[in-house]
Amino acid sequence: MLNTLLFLSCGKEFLNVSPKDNLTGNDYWKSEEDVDKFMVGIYKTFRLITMGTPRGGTATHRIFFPATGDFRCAPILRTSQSSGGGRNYLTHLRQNNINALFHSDYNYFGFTAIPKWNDFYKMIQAANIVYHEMDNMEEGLISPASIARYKAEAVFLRNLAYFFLVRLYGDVPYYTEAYHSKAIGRTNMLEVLTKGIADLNEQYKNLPWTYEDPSIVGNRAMRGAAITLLMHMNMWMAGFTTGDKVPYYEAVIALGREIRLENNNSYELLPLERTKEIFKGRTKEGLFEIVQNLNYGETFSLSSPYSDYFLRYPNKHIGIQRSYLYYEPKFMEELYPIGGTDKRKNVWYDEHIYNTSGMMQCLKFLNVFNEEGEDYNPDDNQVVFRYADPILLEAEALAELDKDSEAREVVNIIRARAEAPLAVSESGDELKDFIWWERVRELIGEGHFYYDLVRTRKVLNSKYTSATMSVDAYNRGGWTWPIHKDALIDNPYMTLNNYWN
Amino acid sequence: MKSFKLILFMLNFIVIHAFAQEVTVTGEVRSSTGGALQGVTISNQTTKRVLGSSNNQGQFNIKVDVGTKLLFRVIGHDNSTIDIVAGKTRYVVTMRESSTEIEETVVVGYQARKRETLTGSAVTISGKEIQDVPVANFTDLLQGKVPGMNVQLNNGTPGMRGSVAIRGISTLNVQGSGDDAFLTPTSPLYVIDGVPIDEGTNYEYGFQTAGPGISPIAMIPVEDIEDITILKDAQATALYGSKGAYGVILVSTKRGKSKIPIVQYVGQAFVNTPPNLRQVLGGVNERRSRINQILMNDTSYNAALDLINSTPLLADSLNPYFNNSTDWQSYFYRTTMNTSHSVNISGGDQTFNYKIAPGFYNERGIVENTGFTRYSIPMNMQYRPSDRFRMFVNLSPSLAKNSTGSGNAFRQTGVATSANTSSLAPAPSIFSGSMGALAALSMKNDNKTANLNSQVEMEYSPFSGFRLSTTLSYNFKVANQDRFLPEALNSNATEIYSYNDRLNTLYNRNMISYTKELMDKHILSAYVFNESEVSKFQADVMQLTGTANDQFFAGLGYSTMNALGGTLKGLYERRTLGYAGNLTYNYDSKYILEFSYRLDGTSTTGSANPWSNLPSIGARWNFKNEGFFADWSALEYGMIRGSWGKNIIPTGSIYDVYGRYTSDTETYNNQPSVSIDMETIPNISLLPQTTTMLNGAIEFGFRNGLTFLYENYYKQSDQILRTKKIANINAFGNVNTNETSLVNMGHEFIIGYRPKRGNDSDWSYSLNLNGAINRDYTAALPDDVRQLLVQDNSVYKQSILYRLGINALSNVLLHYRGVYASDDDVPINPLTGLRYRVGGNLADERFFRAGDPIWTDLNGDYILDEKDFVIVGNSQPVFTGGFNAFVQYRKWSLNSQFFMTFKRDVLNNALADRLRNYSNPAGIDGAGALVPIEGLDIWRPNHTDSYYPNIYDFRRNSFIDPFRYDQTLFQEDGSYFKFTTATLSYNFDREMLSKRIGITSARVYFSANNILTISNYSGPDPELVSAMGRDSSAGYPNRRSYTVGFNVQF
Repeated sequence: MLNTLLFLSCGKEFLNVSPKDNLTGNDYWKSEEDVDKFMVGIYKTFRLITMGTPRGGTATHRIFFPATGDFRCAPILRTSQSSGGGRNYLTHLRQNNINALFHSDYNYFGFTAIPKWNDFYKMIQAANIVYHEMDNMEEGLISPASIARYKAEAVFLRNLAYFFLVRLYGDVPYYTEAYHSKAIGRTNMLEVLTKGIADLNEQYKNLPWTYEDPSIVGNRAMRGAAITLLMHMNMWMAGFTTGDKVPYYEAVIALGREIRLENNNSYELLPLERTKEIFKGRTKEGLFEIVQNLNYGETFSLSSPYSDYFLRYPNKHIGIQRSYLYYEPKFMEELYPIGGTDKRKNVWYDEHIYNTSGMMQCLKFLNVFNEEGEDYNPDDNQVVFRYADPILLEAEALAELDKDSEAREVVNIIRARAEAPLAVSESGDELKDFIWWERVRELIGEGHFYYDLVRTRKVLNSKYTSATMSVDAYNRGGWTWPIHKDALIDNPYMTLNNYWN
Repeated sequence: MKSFKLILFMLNFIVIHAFAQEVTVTGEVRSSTGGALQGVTISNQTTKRVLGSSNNQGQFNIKVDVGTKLLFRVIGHDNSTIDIVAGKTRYVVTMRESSTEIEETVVVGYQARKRETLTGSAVTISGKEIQDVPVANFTDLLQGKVPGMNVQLNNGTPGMRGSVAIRGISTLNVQGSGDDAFLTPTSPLYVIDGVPIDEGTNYEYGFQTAGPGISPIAMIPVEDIEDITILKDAQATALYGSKGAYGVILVSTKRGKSKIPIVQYVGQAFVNTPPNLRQVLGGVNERRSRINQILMNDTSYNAALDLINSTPLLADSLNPYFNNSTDWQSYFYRTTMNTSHSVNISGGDQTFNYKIAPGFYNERGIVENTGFTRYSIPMNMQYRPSDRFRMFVNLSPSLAKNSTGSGNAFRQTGVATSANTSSLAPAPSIFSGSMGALAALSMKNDNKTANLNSQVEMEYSPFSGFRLSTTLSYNFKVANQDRFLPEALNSNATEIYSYNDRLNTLYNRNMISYTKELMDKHILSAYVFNESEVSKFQADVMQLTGTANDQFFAGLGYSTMNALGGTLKGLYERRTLGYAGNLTYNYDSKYILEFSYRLDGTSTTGSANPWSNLPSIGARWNFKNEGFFADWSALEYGMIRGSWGKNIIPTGSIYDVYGRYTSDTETYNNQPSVSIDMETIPNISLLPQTTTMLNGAIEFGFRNGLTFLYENYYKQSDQILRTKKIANINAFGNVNTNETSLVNMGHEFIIGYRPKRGNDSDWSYSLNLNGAINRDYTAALPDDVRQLLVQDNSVYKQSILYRLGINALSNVLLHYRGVYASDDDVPINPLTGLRYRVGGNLADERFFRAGDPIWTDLNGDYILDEKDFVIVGNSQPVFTGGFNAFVQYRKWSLNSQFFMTFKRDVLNNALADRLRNYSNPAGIDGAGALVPIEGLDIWRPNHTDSYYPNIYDFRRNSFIDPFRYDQTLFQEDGSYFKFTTATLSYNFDREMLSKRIGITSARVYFSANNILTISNYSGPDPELVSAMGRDSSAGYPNRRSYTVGFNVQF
């Protein structure tokens, strides 16, 4: 009888059993630590998508940033070190010959992973789940401020994923509800971005400018990263919209001002001599980075970094006497006119900058090695967004709106740091070109080149690329990547990227 | 003055007491048919105090006050009263046999109820009816006894039971494929002496069962069963909560009821024989058959010679390795001699009784190296000093040992493969390399299952009509398996597999009941109870490779790198909690109206919303009790009843609802992370499966002993959990949804005839016929689709289709219409001028010819491919029923039981397997045993009008595949009529026995089980098929047993 009373009073608690073998959602979401660990998992998914891991065989190899950002349609040329057929993918990338890329087996470099968008949707689902669970957590477990910050972080992560998806595939399915299980078709790219911009605009101010804990500076969502993402999304909108582009440029300018003028000294451009620190990560210049650290046992897959292609002995083992790639001298001369002064030329390159036999090295990403001279890649973080990026975007937007003097002023921030001649009289298209080339110069090897070509439609113009795209190809989605046909399974609304079929 | 009055008043009592003189009365209780009645409860009708009971000879001896009215009660007879008058000390009481079962009591919803007040559907089987055939599981003997309960003995492994389904299937989820496909189990709930036993969870009907596979039901000795009640409709099962949704089987064990202790012994000796084994071609016959097939059918004579000469099996006939005639089946199947013994020592009366019943059951399987042994000592004790207080204690330890050889609890794959070896190969020995066969024969497989049930029940009635009771039980079960594979059979490394699991269950129930009688005719009774259960399960496994030698079965192996071990998936801690209430209104035993409600909570669905509601309502009209029927003297009773109820079954696990979170192996930024498992998406809105059942019945009996029962039911299972794959943009792989529905409809009937016999008649007999028609329909499918194909990617390609409005599980097969008698009969595509052919690359062999099967070209494109499948068949039986006949002549009696299953489609994969053995006459490794096919109507050049296609054309076999599994040729009607058991028994004359050797009763009997199956089915046994209707060669055949039994009572 006592039992009866006991059970009547606390039936629900009696039925609450925590399984021994795994955690369930019923027991999760009970502390700030739970949220944090789950959030870390999303960053890890992003690392896996973009950088892979050295463990687990070729399935986890990735050539994400070099292939999608730096090499596609870029004036890269192979050297004697990379003349074998196994490196043909470099030529395919240069020539935008994506079909050839997938007709041969380059899976060692992780090309097969690029058409598969599953992992981006893992990020999105997980971010949506955090957002949803934040609203459902019992009151008092964590502070409202933390909830707001975590929600903003989740929103940043899902929009980061959507932005990457849009840049890869164009139109993509869009959803923000947690535990989404329906089959849906693809949403127009511009609509995805419009929704994403609205979504992120609402939340990004809840993110801190920077963190007190130095270990998470630059690698957990910061307001600067969110602003840069917003600027990128707006620039992509401006590039593709058929309507009025002005509001997007205005938004970019406003965001640029915010990040430059309101950042409470959280961000600054470091002197170029401290390049190694910048790309090692966690500096005031880094806005969003993917962490790599040998000491943590966290390394990227061997095929993922850009630096792999522009280093040779003594920065690689003795068998690699030539870099795998060099840039066309014409291109390098455009970036660094012979005889011109630019500190980047001295710090980021060695004396063989215009060399065509493979002696050229890009020393931008050159940090601690596992062991001297070994065929290991530098232990750098992968920089996704850097403070120089929003500054140049702002300058670009200003130039587009013909605010030339302001544009010059902003671009000269970057020029000044490099101790290069400042822009003084450039205006109109000349200024726009100047800023575009400045972006190439500053952000080379950081996964922006191809996207800058595409969104500014410069990919149609042989002046900027060695593999120009026809207007027809561009309009039919020749700038996208193919989507893996698995997307059609159990989804009657799905279509693939027909250009590549 | 007042105090004086009080003293007088008290004195008055004393005086009365002094006058109420106590006398000792003796007497005898007799049945109206003349026999002595034992165990009749005698109580004081006014005080309700129990005074004693009659002994074995029907005698009683009690002390009682003169003037008392004594009440005599016993089950099966009407109550009787006598008045004790001064001066008379010997009384003879005659109790009229209650002529119908309507007077019996049945325990429904943990409350004993008179059968005539039941509104739900319940069938009771007496333990005596099933105790003459030795079996490990009592459910096997319920076959054909209860309409609507479909028991198929589809597994002959000793200690395992057949499949049990009450009122059709409740799910259409299928796991596995091909031969291994099985229906997700929906086992009924077993309640043993008022304690629910979870039977289904860990002993599911799956082919990959780990561990010994002995269910707790197999731990109950059949001799100890007093009776079994099967509850079928929602009103009867509602009070058992969500676990009762698939039906409830109540078992009560024996209790002591004789004042003088009785010792009863039941001994059985039984012989198990294997069924008829299949005929095979042996030795020279097999070789000639193979050589002939090659010579007659190869592309050219030279090719044939070349093939024969390059096949040592055929050419090298003098080589001792190929010169054999091995009867493989003889190595695996055997006839066994077995015994079972049980002793029941019991005694006591209503006040205090006890029972202890040690038992031993041993059955060696008809397949070598398999068997089952059970030791059990069920004990119980009841103390009931007055009608107000009752205490019952039950303690049942039991231990079972079994061996499943090289197979598991359901399949003997090793035996099946080995028995299908060519007779030309040498007999199993270590030198001939027939490892599979040797493993089946010599693998050590030792399983132990130990079970302890303990239970205490107390009842107290503070005032009349009001009762409080509580039950507490603890059930502990351990099971372990030790398997040892000698090194010669396992690539020179021994293998030890050791499995052990433990399950413990704590159960408590507290009940308050109240019965009130108003104005003689209105009886209102109500009760409420709560029920809680905690159960924990964990299974661990260890596998070691390479011990020092074959004599060491334990310890560390030298190959520690290959050692495996850990806890198996599926460990759990589960809690359930139920609150239930029932209100019954009974007007003059004419109109009965009943409401039940149960609130059920379970931990499996998590804490957010663990509750489910189970309402039910039932009504009954005993129309014979109406005044206007009083004249119908021929009609003894008659009633109509109906019920509606809803049962809710929580499905899925807590992970399905909330997701599974796991710590990741790698860090990020040196921080640990946790991810949600992306295999199955959590579905917060997951709903429990709901079963709604409507039941209606009409029942009547005549004075001449003829009884009828007809029942009709409609059962709708909604929101069945089904796993569905989802688009990859959702990141998760699957989702569990509740979008599937299933409907079962059926009719059930019982016709019984038990003529009243006169006192002087030597003859008596009774007949009972029952049957049930059940049809199932798919009512809804996920995403509102009209049909859903479950693709079978195994070699069998036997896909399953669900389509709205038709039977739930349909086969998808090629339509076989016979054989092309000649090449000219093959249709020609008028557009291309090409003959009808099988799909694939254009090749000469692919065009149909004479002797090839005619498969309907459904889409008319003259190419046979996946577009030509038809939807046919129903793997679930439409009609099941049983017939029982009992004849008694003086001391002799003969009882026979029949069982039938009609309208069921079986896929005869066993036959297909055998015919496919002809596809490669030169095969060495895969050379299977050849069955003689002279008896089959097979196409030959000189016999073109045949039923089966050309079997000999082995060169084109891989192109045409005439004996493919996925065709209607192998879908056969699996109807059968089975003579289940016959028992002939003789009761020794009691007078003679007790006088001469002091034995109160003795009975000897002979019984046979699984006697004869009559069927058109071409396979070995139409019953030995999976619940999906697939006949696999790897099943464990059902034994036939002959028993000599002896019951004696001291």
